[in-house]
Parts: sequence; C-alpha cells; structure tokens
Amino acid sequence: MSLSSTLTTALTGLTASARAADLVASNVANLQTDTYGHRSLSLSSAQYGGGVVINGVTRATDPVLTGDRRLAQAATGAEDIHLAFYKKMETAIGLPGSGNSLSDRISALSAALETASLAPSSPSGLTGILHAGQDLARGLNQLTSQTQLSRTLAEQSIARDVAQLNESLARVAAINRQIPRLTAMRQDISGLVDQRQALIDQIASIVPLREAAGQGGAVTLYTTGGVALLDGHAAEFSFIPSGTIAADSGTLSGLSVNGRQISTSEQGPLGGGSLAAAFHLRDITAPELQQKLDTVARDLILRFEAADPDTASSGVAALLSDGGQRFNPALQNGLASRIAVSPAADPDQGGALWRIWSGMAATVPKDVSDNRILTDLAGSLLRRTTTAGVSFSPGQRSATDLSGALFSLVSTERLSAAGRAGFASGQLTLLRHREAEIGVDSDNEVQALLRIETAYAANARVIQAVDDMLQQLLRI
Amino acid sequence: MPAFSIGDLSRHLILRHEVTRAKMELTTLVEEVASERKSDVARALRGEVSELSSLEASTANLSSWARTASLQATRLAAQQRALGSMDQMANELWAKLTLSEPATPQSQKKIIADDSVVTLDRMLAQLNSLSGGESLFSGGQTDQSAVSDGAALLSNLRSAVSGLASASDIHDAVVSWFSQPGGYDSVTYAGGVPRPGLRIGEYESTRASVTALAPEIREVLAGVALAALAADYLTPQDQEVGASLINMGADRLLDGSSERISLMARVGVDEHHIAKVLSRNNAELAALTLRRREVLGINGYEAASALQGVQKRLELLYTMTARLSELSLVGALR
Repeated sequence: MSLSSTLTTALTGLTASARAADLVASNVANLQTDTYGHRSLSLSSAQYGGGVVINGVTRATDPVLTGDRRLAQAATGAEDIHLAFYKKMETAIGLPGSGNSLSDRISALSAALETASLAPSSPSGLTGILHAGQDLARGLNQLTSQTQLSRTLAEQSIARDVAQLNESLARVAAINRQIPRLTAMRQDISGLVDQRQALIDQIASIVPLREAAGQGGAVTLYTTGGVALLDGHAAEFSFIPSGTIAADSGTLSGLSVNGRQISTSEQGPLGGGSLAAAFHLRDITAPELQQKLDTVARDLILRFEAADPDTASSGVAALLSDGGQRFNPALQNGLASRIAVSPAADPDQGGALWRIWSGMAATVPKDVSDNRILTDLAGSLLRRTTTAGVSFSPGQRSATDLSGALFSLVSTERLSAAGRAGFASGQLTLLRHREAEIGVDSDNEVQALLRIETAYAANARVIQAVDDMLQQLLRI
Repeated sequence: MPAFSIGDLSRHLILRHEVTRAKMELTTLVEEVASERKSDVARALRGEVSELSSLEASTANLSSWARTASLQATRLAAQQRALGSMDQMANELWAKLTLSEPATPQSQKKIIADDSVVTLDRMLAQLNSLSGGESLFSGGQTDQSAVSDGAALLSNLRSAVSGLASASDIHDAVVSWFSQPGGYDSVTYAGGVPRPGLRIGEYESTRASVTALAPEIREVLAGVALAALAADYLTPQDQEVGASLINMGADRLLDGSSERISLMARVGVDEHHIAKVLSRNNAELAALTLRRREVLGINGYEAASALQGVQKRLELLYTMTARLSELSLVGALR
C-alpha cells in the first residue's frame, strides 16, 4: 500500500460523490416530471486495490404496476369515448320538461293543435301548428346530424389514433435499436428509457398492451388481444377515412395491420382502447341510435297519416312527411334526417295553411270551425300505439312516451358508461398514485445530498491528509 | 425501490385529485341550491324518465285543455246571457200582447204589433251576438252571422203567407215556415251544422253547441213573428185577422216558455259539466306540479348541509396543501 494508491482510492470516492450529486440534481430537477423514473447510483467496492466502482445508474421501475396502469389508461380512453357520445346525445335529446327537448317539441305541437282546434281557421293558430311541426321535424333532423357528426368525428379520431400508433411504434423501434449501442459505449440510457416509456404510454391509451423485455434492453409490445405491435420491427397500421358520413352511408372502411384486414370489434384483438371504442361508436352505437331516431320519426309520420285518412287514398303526404312524401317502409334508413312538414301546408313553399285543418288531401277549405282533423291529429299524438320495429322494447306508447323512452335509453346508457368510466379513471388515479410513490422524494434527495456532502468532504480530507504526509516526506 | 421513500408527486396527485373532486361536488351543489332543481335528473331517476315524461306531457295537455275549457265556458256564459235576455224579451212582449182584447182600440193594437217587430229585431240581434269575435249561434260557421235581420225575415214570411186570408191559415203557414225545411232554416239561418264538441279532458269533451236552429228558439221567434205580422192586418177590413194573430202569438210565447227554460237549463248543464271538468283538471294539474317538484326538486336542507360539508373539506384541503408544502427537509435545513 502506498500513499499514491491511497490518493487514487480517495479519488474514486470523490468521483462517486460527484456522480451521485449529479444524479440528485437530475432527480430534483425532474420533481414535476411524471414519466421520470427515479435514478440512483449503483456502487460496489473495487475488486483490485481500494476504492469504489460505479456499476451504473439504476432507474427505479415497477413493470407490473406500469403494465396495470397502462391497461387502466386504455380502459379510460375507451370509456371516455362512449361516455362523451351518450352525454352529447342525452343533452341533444333533452330531459322532458327542460324546454327544448324532443318530448317538449312533441308536447308543443300537441298544444298548438289543441289551441288551433278552438278556432281551426285562425291563421295564428295554424301558423303555430306549422312552426311547432317544423320545430319538431328540425329537432329530429338535428339529432340525426349530431349522431352522424359523432360518427364522422369517431372516424377522424380513428385516423389520428392510427397515425399516432404508427409514429410512436416507429420511434419505439428506433430507440430499441439505439439502446444496445449506447450500452456498449457504457453510457447512461435512463433518458432514452424515459422517452420510450412516454411513447409506450401514448400507444397504451389507443390499444391495451403488454410490454415484455426483449434482447439487449429492447422491448416487445403486444396488444392484450395478441397482435404484435413491435417485435423486432414495428407493425404498420393503415386506415382510409371515408370523409363525411350520412345516416344511409353503407359499410365504411376497416382497419388493416401490415396489409391484412383485422377485426375492430371491442372484443377483438385490438379491443379495449380508444381505437376499438371509436370503431364501436362509428359502426354500432351511433347507427343503433340512428335506428331509434328513425323509429321515432316513423312513429310520428304514421300517427299523422292515420289521423288524416283521406291522404291514403289520394297518396299525398300527411302534415309530417318523409321530405314531402308519404312514409315508405323501404326508405326507413335516415328517415329522421328527412322528416319535414309537408310543403303543401307551408305558404313559404307554395303550400296553403288551410290544408292543415281541412286535411292535406282536401281541394277546398272546409267549414271554418270544422276541427275534426285538428282534434284527430292532437288525439293521435296522445293515443297509445304499438311501436314498430325492434329498436324499442315492445309496448304501447303515446308520442311523448316514445320520446321519453328514447331519452331513458340514452340516459341509462350514459349512466352505465359514466359508472364504467368512473371506475376506470378511479383505478387509473390509484395506479398513477402508486407509480408516483416510486418517483422522486425531495426529502430523500436532500438527505442523500447531505450524505454525499459528508462523503465528499471525507474523501477530500483523506487527500489532504495524504498531501500533508507527502509534504512531511519532502521536508525531510 | 427504497421502501422508505415516497415520491413528492404522489402527495401532489392525491391532493390535486381530492381538490378537484371537492370542487366538482361544490359546482353541482351550488347549481342545485341556486336552481332548486337536481342538476342530474336522469341520474336521480336512474335513467328511467318515463314518469317525468308522462308528467310533462300530462301537464302540457291539461293546461291546453284548461284553456279550451275556460274559453268554452266563456262562450256558454255568453250564450246563456243571450238566451236569458231573449226569454226576458219574450215574457215582456207576452205581457203586452195579452193586454190586447177585442175592445182594445186599433191604434193600441198597432203599437203592440210594432213593438213585436222591434222585439223580433232585438231577438235576432241577440242570436247574432259574438264572443271573442266568434258568432255564438251559427254552429260551425263562426265567422258568419247566425241569422238575417228582422226586416228580411218578415219580408220572407210575408211572401210565405201572401194570399192567405184566415188567421189560422196564416198561423199554420208561419209555424211551418219556421219548423219545416226550406223556410227559416234555409232563408234566415246563415250558420252551419252544429259545432263539433271540443276535447277538454282525457275522456271528456264538450257537447255540440246550441245553434239558432234549436226548436225552442224557432218557437219563440214564430210567436214574435206572428204578433209582428199582425201589423200588416190591422186595416179596418182585416182587423179580426190581426187581432187573432196577436192572440196566437201570445199563446205561442206562453206555450214556449217552459221549453225556453229547458234550453237554458241544457246550456246550464253544459256549463256545469265544464266547470266540473275544469276544477278536476286544475286539481290534477296541481297534483302533477307537486309530483314534478318532488321528482326534479332537491331537499334544500340536505343540499345546504352538503354544501357546508364540501366547504369545510375544501378549506381543510387548502390548509393541508399549505402545511405540507412547508414540510420539507429543504426548508428545515435553511
């Protein structure tokens, strides 16, 4: 043992302290960064000679926790899409009695008919009916366009998800290739790993995935449904949006991975994240709601056609019509987007108001107080009739009962979606919180800093002592 | 992972999460207390709004039926008034007509007959009275006057009796002109078929309205018209005919008086029916409003105490945030 070896040993201590201080600085600097993994120095005593050896930097992670958190993130992403849709449609349909709801529009039409039946020929009463009818028709038209807009937006979100998926996967693959090179050069790869984790987090809200460690610090990514997202090289997703979607749009484009079509169902290989949820919304949830809206429109038109039976024999449309035509069972798709007050009753479209009280098939106005058609129309909205089609549970309903049932269905869906979304986000919060516990603890860092300071001062003291000893030697 | 370390972010996340939750609750409660309505009605009803929807529909229907019923009540009251004054006129005229005896001077009889002409005119005017701009006795054609004026009626009647000499022939002709088709109903009456009933409740509607074609009204008009026609026959050579026409008119007015009362009673029954339905509708409306308030409304005390609770919780969270941020080794080492 010589003095010079003592100097070298003390120097390794100094270096280790300086490196540790560096890590503390990095940790403290990232106090607010939630993707940052806490770093610590891994040290061991030197095998040959004295001193300390820096083995490397350890990045604190809990892969199981992170994996669970990513699954919760995927579930939250999916449930949020469902919840947002139902919330929007629930508001659009409106709570009965809120003033602007579908039920209120039907009630307003029924009230306008009752009021007008007191003085059937009074223009103000008839204009009231016309406006209430147009308002109701427009309400259904708007609900349809909202539903179809949701589908269009879902498609845009799919396109965004797919682009993000492709880009993030490519970047993860690039980092996978970079890591072995840096490891070979004995460089700290923690920064790259942080970056990779952030990228995988982004993918994880699109499709639920499992991460597995691959060779040489690389990772492989699989969806929980078993599709390889990244195994050696990144999967290539492709999706061609169809643009604007209408109620009667046919089959829309699907999704392909590496050139092969893949199921987009929520139970399928990609199910569970925002991607499959958007497909579900576009292909199942929204079209189903559209069918219900069409059933409501059909119900209204048929009520009015039955209340004005003369229209059947002469083939003219009733007050509420399929864009000016009678109801045609073959054209039920998108009926709610076309329902309108028959132009024959609208003076602005070349019609005449007197047809409202005289019957749409009448050629001349009836007696000025003949309110039979008006009371029949008003009565037809109240009458409990069997709802056609399979969109609603079987049963007899009045027109407002049906619109109330529509709201009930949507709000029940909204509540259960809110329940699921609440559960998913609660879980996500819990897991995030648990993950954050592994993160940087400033008290710990300051404490470490104190120890580093002490170690540094002690090592420096050793060097000073050796120096003193050398000086003593030289003075002899 | 050192077990003795807890990341700073973790504490921050908990606090942030709790503060956000408390604030969301606060927003909901403030909204509820301010509007006195549940902020998420659908959630309170577990998504099943069919009761609310039928409540709203019934409320809307009942209020429009109530409007119809009160309008109809006004109309019936106006009809009742018109019928009442017709009855009164008939009674007054009858009193005058019975004064006429064979010994009554010709000039006096002339006055009585002229009085009948005026009464006829006033009665027809009553039949043409309006309520809310609508003719009361013209059935469905509410925009038309129910009957023509007295002069026109009399001239039509004169052509019907022209050439008849005996009082009884004239009497029969006048009565049949009023009661048989082709006379009064087509020449004088300008209205339409009786107005159909209006719906004033879920199962109730009003009866078809009384028109100027009611036999009771024709009867009283026939009586007055007979006396009015007498004016034409009070010439010296026909004065017997004129005197008997006056007596016959008086008899018809007397005979018809109980029928007039029963017509008024019929209208009265309709009025009563409407009043009954109206009060029942109003009671139902009040019950519905109460139920609606129950469904939509909030318990004010509950909401206020919950608000207090959230306020305390938020204050506590703020205090904790402030204290915890000071609880750092960095601060202690200074």
